[in-house]
Amino acid sequence: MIERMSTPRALTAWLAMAAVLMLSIPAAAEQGPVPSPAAGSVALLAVPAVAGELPRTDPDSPSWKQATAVEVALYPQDWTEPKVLVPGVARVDVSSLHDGAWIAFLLSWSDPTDDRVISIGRFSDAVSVQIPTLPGADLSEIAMGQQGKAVEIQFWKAAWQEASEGRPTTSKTLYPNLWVDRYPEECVKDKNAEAVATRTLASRAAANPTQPRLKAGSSPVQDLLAEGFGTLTALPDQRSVGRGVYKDGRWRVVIARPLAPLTRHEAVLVPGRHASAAFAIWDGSAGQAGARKMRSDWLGMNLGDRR
Amino acid sequence: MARVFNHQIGRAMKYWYPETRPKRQFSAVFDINKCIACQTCTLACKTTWTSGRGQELMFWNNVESKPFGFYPLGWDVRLLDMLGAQTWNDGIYEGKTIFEASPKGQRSLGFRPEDADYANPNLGEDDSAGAIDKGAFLTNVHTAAWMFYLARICNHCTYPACLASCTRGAIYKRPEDGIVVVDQKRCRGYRDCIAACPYKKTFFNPEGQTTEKCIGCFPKIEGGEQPQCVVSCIGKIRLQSFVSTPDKAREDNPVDYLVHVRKLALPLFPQFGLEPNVYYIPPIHVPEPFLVQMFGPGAGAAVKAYREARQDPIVAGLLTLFGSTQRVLWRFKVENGFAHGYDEKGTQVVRVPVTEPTVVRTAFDETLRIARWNIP
Repeated sequence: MIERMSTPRALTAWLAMAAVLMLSIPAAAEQGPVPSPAAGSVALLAVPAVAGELPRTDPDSPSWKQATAVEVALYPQDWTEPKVLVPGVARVDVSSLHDGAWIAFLLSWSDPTDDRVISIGRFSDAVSVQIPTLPGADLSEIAMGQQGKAVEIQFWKAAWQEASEGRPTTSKTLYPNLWVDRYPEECVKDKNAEAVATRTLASRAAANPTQPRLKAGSSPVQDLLAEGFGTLTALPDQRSVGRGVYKDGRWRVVIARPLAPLTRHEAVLVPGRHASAAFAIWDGSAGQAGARKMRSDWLGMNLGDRR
Repeated sequence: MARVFNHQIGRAMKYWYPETRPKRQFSAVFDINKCIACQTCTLACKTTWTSGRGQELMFWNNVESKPFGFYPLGWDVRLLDMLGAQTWNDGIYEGKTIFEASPKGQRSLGFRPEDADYANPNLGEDDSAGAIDKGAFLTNVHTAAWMFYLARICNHCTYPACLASCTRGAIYKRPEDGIVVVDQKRCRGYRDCIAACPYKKTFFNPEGQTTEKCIGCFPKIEGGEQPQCVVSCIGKIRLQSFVSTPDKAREDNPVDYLVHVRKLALPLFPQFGLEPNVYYIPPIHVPEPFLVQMFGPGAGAAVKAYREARQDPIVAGLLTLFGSTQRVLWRFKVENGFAHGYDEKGTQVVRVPVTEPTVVRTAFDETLRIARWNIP
């Protein structure tokens, strides 16, 4: 970037931008052992090493008492169309723990409606954690990363959890009085039925990466990578897990991912080092999906040393 | 937004992407005057493409009665209401397209229907525009009130709103034939396209959780055959081929001849700004203001030309080629009382008499010594 900006004026501008970045996100501005957060800095998320087992899929685990929640402000996604112009969920409370191999986030937010069904006009509640794949001061663009500086995203969706727990959305669950004479796979011999059922569901036939999320027993969390708007792509190996619970007008969702990457494309998280994360919430009852979401700024994280 | 030229509204307009036109553009002409709403096209499409799970209420092809039939409910009138009154001036659209009227923060003006809006595809079927006096239906119903059948598929628009709205670029226009398709591997079911398409021809499959839409029967197109809805039409109202831009219109191209040369076939709601590529010969018994709203300012002239088609051997001949062959007709000619159709390679694939020979049989057959029942 500096090489391309050859004029002194451009260099000055870049240095000024860098200074602003370092001031606003002090925790992310350097790599190495955990520093003390400077006075007046933004909140840091402490990620202590857990005593006992890491609650990868249990938002109610007593282990969460070992973590301190940070209030993270959410803003309407107004970088790109379609923009959110009416603010929705304004805050998500985040706590995090790690066990040296995995990191788990507990995300909790207030939502008066429990939306876990998807149909033409109904949308699912969802939450995501975004982590830059390159550590240190050279943070990715928060808006879905940029070319060469990808972000990794773990995405949990209430509708996927329903499917994973054996309650998939079907036309019959959506419209109980719907009458169907016969589906194509019911017209063929048993051994061909699965093939016909696949062929007549285009997204499954095309091996859409979200299809495994709709199967019973699957993880409701998807691992994704993005290098800018419109580039969000599922990672070939899906490892993350999680689970959400809706109670008393509040979602509490755990998203857990391995610290170590499987490929060179994925984010590296190392105990005893800094990291950054950002969060986004989709409110189903507000018709939110895709770019229509509430999102946070980068949040610095201090990963505690291994126990 | 980029500046692109839309020949249907006679001016440049804003669009999300710069102008790129395919090598050739899928197109069709539907003659509304011949449609009887038998829904054979609908069923041909349904049994071919949408018989699976999550597609129960999905009709890539549908036929609705106008003015009171809609699928999904109110798809056109709701958007017309949102857009408000707009004006044409001498063939040039002075109003706003759905891209130019896009609300702040959005890519186009539109709305997303609810589930129930798709539940009654035949709502309003056969309802006429007005009440019919007692007994009038026995004399001439078309002078007492009007209605018509509007057969619809995806318009495979030159400037698709669905494509513009997709934040993932999961919808694309095939460079080889201009057919608009959804990449079933990229789609994540955000449904921005469903709100954006003014014709509401992108559909959400809740079981697969992706958008699905008319694929123009591209496997057939690639083999030189017309789509299922076209070849199954018993009223022979449809003809599918490829349309040129007006400056490159060819007189021997069946679609170009009807659209650009004779201006008999018109786009559906050209004012929305998508440059749709399915063209309609408007119904001749419908009040002109309604037709102008639906098909643009050329509606009156198109109706007049259609009324005179019987005296025009080329138009009359070309209309006989509708539904006469499964093959895509690239070229046609009318000569010595016959209409001839040719495929891409120039091989003649069909020959039809412009006027079918008429045989008048006497009421009593002297040879067989038998009286015939004549059916009026």
